[in-house]
Amino acid sequence: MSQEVLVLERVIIIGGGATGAGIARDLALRGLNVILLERGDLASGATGRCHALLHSGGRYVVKDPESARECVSENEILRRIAPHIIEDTGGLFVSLPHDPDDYPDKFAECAKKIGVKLRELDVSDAYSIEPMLRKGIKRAFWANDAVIDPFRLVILNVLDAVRHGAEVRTYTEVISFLREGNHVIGVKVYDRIHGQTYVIKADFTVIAAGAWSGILAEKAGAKVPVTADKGTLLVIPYRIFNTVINRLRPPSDGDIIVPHQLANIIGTTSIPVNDPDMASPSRDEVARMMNAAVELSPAFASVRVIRAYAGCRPLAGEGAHGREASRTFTIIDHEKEGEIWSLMTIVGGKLTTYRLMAERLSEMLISKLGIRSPCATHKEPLPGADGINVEELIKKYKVPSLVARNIMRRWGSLAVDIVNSARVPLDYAVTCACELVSRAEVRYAIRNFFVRKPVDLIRRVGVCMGPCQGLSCILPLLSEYVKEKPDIDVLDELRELVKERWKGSAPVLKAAQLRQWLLTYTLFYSAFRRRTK
Amino acid sequence: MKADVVVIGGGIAGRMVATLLAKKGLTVILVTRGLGATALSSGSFDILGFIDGRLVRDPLEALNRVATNSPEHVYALLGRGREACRIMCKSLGLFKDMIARYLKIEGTFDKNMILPTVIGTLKPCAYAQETMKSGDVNSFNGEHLLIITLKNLVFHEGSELFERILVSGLTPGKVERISHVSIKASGPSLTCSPLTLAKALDKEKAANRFANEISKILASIPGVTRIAIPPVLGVDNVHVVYEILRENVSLPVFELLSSVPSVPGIRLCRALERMSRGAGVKIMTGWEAMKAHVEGNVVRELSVRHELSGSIERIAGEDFVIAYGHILGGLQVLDDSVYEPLLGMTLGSITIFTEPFKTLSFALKIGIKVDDDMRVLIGGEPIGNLYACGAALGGVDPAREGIGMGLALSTAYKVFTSLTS
Amino acid sequence: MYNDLIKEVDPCIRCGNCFMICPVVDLLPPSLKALNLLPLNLSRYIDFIKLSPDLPYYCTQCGECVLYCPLSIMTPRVFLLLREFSKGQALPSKIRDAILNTGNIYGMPNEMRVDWVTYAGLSGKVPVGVKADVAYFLGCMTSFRARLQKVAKACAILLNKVGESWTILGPEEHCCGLPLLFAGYVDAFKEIANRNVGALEHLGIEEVVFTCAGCYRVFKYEYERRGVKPPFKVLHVIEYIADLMKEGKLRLRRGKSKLNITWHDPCELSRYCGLVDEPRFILKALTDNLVEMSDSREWSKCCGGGGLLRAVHTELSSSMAKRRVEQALEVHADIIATACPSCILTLEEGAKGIIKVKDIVELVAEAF
Repeated sequence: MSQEVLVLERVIIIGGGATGAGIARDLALRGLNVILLERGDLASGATGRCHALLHSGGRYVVKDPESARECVSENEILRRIAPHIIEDTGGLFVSLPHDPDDYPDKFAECAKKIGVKLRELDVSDAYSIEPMLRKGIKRAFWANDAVIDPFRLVILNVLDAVRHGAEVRTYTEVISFLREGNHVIGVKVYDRIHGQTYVIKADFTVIAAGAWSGILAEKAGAKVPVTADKGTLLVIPYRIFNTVINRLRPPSDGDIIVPHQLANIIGTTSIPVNDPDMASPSRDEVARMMNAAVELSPAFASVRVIRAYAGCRPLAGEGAHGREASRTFTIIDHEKEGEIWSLMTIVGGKLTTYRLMAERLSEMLISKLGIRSPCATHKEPLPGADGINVEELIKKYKVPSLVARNIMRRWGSLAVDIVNSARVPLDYAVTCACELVSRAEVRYAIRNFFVRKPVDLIRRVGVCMGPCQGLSCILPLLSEYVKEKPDIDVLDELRELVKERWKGSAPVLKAAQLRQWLLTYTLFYSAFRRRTK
Repeated sequence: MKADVVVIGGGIAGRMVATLLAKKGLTVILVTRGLGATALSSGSFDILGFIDGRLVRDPLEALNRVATNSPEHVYALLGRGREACRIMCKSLGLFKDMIARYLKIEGTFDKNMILPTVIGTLKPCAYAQETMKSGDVNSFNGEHLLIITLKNLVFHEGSELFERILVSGLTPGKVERISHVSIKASGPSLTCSPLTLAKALDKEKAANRFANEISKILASIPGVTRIAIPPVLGVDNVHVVYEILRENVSLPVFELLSSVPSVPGIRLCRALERMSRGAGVKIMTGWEAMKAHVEGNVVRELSVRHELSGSIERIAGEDFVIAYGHILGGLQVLDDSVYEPLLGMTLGSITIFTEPFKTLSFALKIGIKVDDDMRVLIGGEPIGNLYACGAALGGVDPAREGIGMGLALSTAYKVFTSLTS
Repeated sequence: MYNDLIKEVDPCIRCGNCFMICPVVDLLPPSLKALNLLPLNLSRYIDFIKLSPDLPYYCTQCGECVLYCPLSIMTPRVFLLLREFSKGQALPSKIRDAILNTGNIYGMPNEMRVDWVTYAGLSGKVPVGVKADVAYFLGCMTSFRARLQKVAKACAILLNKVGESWTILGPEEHCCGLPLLFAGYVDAFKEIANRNVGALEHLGIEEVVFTCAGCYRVFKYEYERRGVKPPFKVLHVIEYIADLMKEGKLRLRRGKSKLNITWHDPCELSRYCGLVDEPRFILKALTDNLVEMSDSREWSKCCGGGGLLRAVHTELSSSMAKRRVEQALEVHADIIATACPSCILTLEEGAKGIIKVKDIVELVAEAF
């Protein structure tokens, strides 16, 4: 039986991706009372399955000038408010021997028109920047691309929202909307961990659930034209490229490689799907993208792929078609559509413009509520953005320098809090050696970063993301978790962790990674066995 | 170079067959890259642990059943029913005796022990290193278990997690109470690897200190009935270390089965090295077998390459035995197919399933096909003087079925009988 | 370069064997050790390597890990490749400059390579730079270090005793180049390889004999691997002696006392070149009491003297030597015999006079 608990809030935001987190922060900074609901974990949807590119706009200049323009300004703002989670890699746009000859000029021309800063390079300079590029490129341009860490972006937005009074509930699925006439007055939710159903009331509700927005809006009796467009990405555990590499040709599969943390991410495909829950990478997509990557650098042919994952872009518009569709965003005020009051939906857009999307929506929302409060998200830096010196951290707290650098890279000045929480030197022992996540960081995340299940830690601190895909960190991770939160079924969580890692490995399993999994298999299989007492 | 028999692979199967042959008076060259997958083993010797996911209580009876009813099962290679059992008993018995000087293993054929691993999961096996035998949960009854963790051992602090997993797998009543204690073992004061710790404990003085430390703790925790220790009780001198422990601590003490990297695995490998060297096998360590040169349907020579120097040699022999293990050993994985490098043949390709582990199970079952005399088959025809044994045969999923060492030893023995009959 | 590196480490399945058995890792400061940096992971932290150039020098190139790796990953090579990323740092470039400018690792005038002849009282008995069948290649350490000059003396006596037509190169001998490889200078290595092979060819040498295990390995395998194929036979002195004994050209007296001798297998000879039976054959002719340490033959433990570890992390190297000496004491050895100048110096320091460390050539020369 469902147990009803009544919670009163002003604004409910549904969707714990970058957009939802961005809206939560924006509204919280304006003094509103918000609650963020997410049916899974933060950044577990499209946000956590993107290629993490902070667009210069270059990729859109030819096909989608509006998006390109948005990117140009947002790129600058994000570099200002979140410098610690952005790696300024720069981006190369290169034209391979069989790429169209006329494309580069068209590209340069469009970029100039829009205001995307580009610099054409000597081909030899391109090679000195990226020695692993294949031979024989025809032309090369340098752009202002960078890489932003989507997991940290979401958690920092949420963290700041919470610091300003917001509330966040993960694993809380909206199962229906409460209506009073045409007004949405709240939602009925299901807590997926405790198995409880309860009601949350609010003055206003925002759907920011990406590709799932259409399904949700329907539950409220509204209509949202959105198309789920699957994009598959591959992870190579090495930095073969240190800059973002783009192909100078009309958009197609495998035309971008992004250096993210210690890995290269190969993107991406574009395939419309009916059910965003069912979007998963196919072996065929993997093969096509690997071929494209090998065209960019033969080095990709000789190394393992550790993972493939697919995210669903929530393209605005019904039947919006893959690469032809604009990447810009749409805000739907359902009152204007004459359907439902006190409900708004936002779809479309991309990671780079998440803040702009949040700002636009919040403006509309507060003016409807009759509140006047200016936007602060373009000025207020995210937590951890105030720079600290890594050398100081190493010296003052006696942190091993590699660990210090890694904590800094992930958390900026929040690193100070993290190292402050360490008690003994062994707290700097690594839990995950692939990604160098220290025990102190794991523990801090469990306590402070809205973790409700051990798998959340994969997204929070990046454990299990390296070449061994959990073999050596699953147990230390669980061990740390049990110490903090003893109230879990360890075997269930162990299985879930292994399955979660397997999901992304299965489509790319071969050679080295197959052997890798064989070891994981022999070690963990016993945990999967039916109990024969 | 020349020998009567050239054995390829220095794991348990290779060492077993090489030792048996050398003891018969044949000249044997054993080519090995190094330790291989045997070093990753947990310390147990399993014959048959599960059939269709159900726990096997009597492995010999189960083997009899499998070898009679499932002619496609890898154990059917040993012979039908009782014959398979005879070979299994003979091979394990011989092995146990031959290695006894270097490492003691204990157990019985007709009853699986259920031993806890360092993770906390339970593993059925017929035999195990002597230090592990007291961990058999079949013999548990209302125990007060003391779990010892070692302070100076890196990454061995998951005792809460271990306890939770262990308890979830035990029938109620087996264990009444669990206590934890963390002590500093002898050895370097720095955080050290399990192997360093084990080597430090190899010295009697250190073992005595360790035993005293444990007795002292026992005085402060009343009612303990059994003691679990991480698998670090010595490498070359484990028997003496264990004796010291047993004398000083009057309770059953046992090592947990290891995860990787594995001290018991390395212990076994070192014992195997001594056993085979002692029998007069000429061991080429650090050499990789590259190619078998076949003329007609016999192998004349084997090309081997020294890994660190890159130099190449040819070894001539009357007979050759493949014992290089599965894809963590000599078999190659090229993209999604399993490849046999010596003869240059593809053995099968791997189907990918979405269900976790089904793929891997499938991959493990791909292996070298042999005839009734264990001679390697190419397209159904045997090569006259090339035999195969151990995990290279594929056909089983060791993790799921609890078949590992038993398969290696029995097939190795079967090759030996074929070669000497 | 990066491509070679990732290709080498990519098969790693993170079983942790290498990390567990590595004699260097075992002695690392806990803060560094707790990072659990397997070669695969280390290779993913290139930026960090550039910041901490001493990190890839935590490796003696002993190669034991290769035997323990189920996939035979050449971890020593991984470390060499990593060192190439820290090229130009103080230590490696100092070594390169010394070798290229003077011809030896000490930066001494190369003419001093013959000074040991006088010190050893062998003036007139050691041919220098003459045409001969056999050349004795000393190597930098043996030429310049007083302790090792005794080894050179013993070898000279041996060569004279068997009546060989022989010579040393003297000032024309250059460092074999191994330190250059260890410091990541592959191009300079090739240059030096050409110089040495050229000088030996010039004298019409047919066989080159070495007392240094490192020089021997480099001449035997590394020159050819990098495109310089020596046109002469390359022999370590233990092979040379064993051959003489087998042909009956050299007879040895048994050691007078009943001393226990143990053989410390230098990594360069045992693991890298497979010379494990020859020294035991010779020692058995010298003593009835050949004892084996618990880690021997291909499974020998490194003394800590290799791979420039000693130059960068001296204390760590000494601790390793101590551990190896302890192993010898455990089997009650009176003498540690070996055949590598680096092992002799390192072990002798670790032994602190408790146990004698001798080159096998010295033992042989005593037994004429």
